[in-house]
Amino acid sequence: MLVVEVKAGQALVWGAEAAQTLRERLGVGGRLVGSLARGPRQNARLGLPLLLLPEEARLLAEIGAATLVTAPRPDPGQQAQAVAAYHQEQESGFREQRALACEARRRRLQDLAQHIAAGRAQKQRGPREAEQGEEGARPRVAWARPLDWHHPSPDWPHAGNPAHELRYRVYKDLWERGYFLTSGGKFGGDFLVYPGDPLRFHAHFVAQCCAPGDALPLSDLVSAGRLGTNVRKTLLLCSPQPDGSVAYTSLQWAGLP
Amino acid sequence: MEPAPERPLQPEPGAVLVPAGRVLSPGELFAARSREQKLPLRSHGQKVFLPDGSEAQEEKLRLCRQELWTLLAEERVERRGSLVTAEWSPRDGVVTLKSFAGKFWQTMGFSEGGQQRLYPEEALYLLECGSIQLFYQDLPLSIQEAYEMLLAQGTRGFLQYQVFSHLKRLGYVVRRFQPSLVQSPYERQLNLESGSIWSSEKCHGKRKRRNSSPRSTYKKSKVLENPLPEVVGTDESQATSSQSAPRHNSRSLEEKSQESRHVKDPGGSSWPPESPEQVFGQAEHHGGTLKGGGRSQDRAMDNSGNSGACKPRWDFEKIAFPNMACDCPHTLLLAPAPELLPGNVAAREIDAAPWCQKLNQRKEKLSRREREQQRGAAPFRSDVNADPEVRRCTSWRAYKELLQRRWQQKTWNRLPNLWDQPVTPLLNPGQAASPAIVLQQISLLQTTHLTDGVDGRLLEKSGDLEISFDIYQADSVSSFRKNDPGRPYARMCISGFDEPVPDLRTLKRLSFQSGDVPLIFALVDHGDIAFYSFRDFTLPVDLAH
Repeated sequence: MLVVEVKAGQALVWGAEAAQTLRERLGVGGRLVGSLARGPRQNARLGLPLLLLPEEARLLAEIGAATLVTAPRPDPGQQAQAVAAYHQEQESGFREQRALACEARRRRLQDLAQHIAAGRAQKQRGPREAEQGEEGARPRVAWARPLDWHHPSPDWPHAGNPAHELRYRVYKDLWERGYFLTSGGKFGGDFLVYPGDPLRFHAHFVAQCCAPGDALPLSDLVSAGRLGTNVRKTLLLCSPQPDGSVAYTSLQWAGLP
Repeated sequence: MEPAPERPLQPEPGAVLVPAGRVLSPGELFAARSREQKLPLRSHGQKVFLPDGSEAQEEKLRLCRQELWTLLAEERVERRGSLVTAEWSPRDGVVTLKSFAGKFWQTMGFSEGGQQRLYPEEALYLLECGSIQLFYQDLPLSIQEAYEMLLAQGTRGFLQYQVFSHLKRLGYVVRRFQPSLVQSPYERQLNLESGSIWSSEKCHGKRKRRNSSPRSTYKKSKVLENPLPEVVGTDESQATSSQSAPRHNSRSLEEKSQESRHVKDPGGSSWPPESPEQVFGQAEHHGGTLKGGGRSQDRAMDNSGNSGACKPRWDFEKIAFPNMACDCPHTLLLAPAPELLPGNVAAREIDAAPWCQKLNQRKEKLSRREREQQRGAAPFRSDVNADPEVRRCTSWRAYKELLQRRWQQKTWNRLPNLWDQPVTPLLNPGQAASPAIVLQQISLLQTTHLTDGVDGRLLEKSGDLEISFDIYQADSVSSFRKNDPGRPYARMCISGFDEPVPDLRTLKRLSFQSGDVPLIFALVDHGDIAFYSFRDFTLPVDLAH
């Protein structure tokens, strides 16, 4: 069961397997916002946690693929036990690593036997200090409260927000049609619509959500259309209808032939 | 491998078990020494426009994804010796270092109460980088737990942390905003050091030094060959004591200002005398800065800057100085008593009358321009009171009536012109030198700057937007000093993408707070950070003269 941790309106997914399941099986991408373990001091590739759009989190909760939780806390009753277990784990792990290190060294010495014999007369080799072991993270059991995403709360302020409802309906509809959606703030829209995984495909549309009764100033239309054309994407105006469907209008800047 | 909870303590009903991360076995940890360190290249060829279900596309996608999951699934492995232990205390909201800090201490953290501390966002960043090991209640925190605990709302929130880590990964030095370090442009103009710690240390040091040793840096005075008729109180014997130093020197006011900064030490050693100020003619009445060259007592400087501890020996209210000014000349100076003078100096009485006559006798040689100026200005420089008609006026009203009469006489026979009408021309003929000046006269709008009109009322209101960080450039890392960071490269305000654009009042307040350092707004939109700034811009004047 996938668990999505929610805090102050931000939905985070930890765990590489969870992220993989979401992306490959459910078509929900999210964005990586943490430091990458292999290279934490660069910005080109980021690592876990995976940040989900509020619409993505809500969709996952609705279809039952994930549980939204809030405030995970380690079990306080197990504190002393956990500390003892931690120290014991450290010791045993250290011993085992030392054994492995000695073994590896022995093997290496065997390989380089002749070189060593040549230099043995000169140097005097004492027993080498056991190397420091590496450190592993020790996870503890944590329990969290499930979040009721139907009602607004400090951790989930989106419930009941009309803008969020609007975007969610558009998101859900496009997702059900098989598109891959990511945040479109960079391109002046609400979502970027991809035909497949964003890793390999370019976006086709910049989706902008409008409420059915809202007036749409022409200047907004022009600026949105211009933006879309400049990045070679079609502007998609989406507005959810009262009957449940969503009406789409696409806009492409055309010159007179 | 999660141990099942065998204790009877149940979690609350409905609680969800949060899956824990993977623990690496010792074998895996050992093998991690030799794992790949380089990041794979990002691009796997050009992106495609349409999915066509082909095998090639599928394969490429699979490769991309596989690489991504491999990278994400790697856990952090560090040598235990290279990790700095730190402890999180939620009550204070800071992280305390338990072992010695590493290289990051140069630009991050602060000292408090003898301990090295880190702010939560700094600690979280270092945890992600693998430089520290964060403990809470004797157990190390995972990054997931650290995110949950350290980024509470009270401390810098999630958005701030995203911006912070983004900038740190780029290499900038990011510190929390300290309004006390803002140096106004005026201070910078005067070269005042910023930061009270710095300046007070310096001042204290200097003061201490001055106080401890007597002033031995006085210049040796030039002993005068000809005793000039210095101003000496002839009625009083200014006992210069038995030191071998020449007479009193009168000081001009310029040196007084220098002197006022020195703290006088009423020590009993002999003062090497000051270089005497040659005031020829002595026509001034001093403000009382008399300096005894050879006095062993403290200087009797009764100017304000002196912090003389003892009372001066002479009461200057009783000492009369001869007035040699033109209104009350006292030009006959008697010889001083021989016992007041050093042995090898002879003094005589002098009559300064011929000297005074010779004062200001030389004709001032004006340059040509000055002469013309004087000639031009002179006709108008006439005394109002010299006019007999004005003298006859007995009151202000009479005077005003006189002026009115005169003006009417002057203008009654003037030709009708544009300036007599209710609507006068905009410019005098001589003023309209260029179209730009004409347009300036009719301009309605004035250029104003963002920091204009910022008063106390504006500064009091504190909206939700505040300056979060000071940013310093990456190339100054080697010379960065936490106590005296200098002028930041920029200051950062952080807000989410959905929040409204700050209004003019907030902008003014924030730019004023920031001083002359550019202010940048970081907008975080679901992991994407965009930077915006407002800049003062003067519209160019469109016309060429």
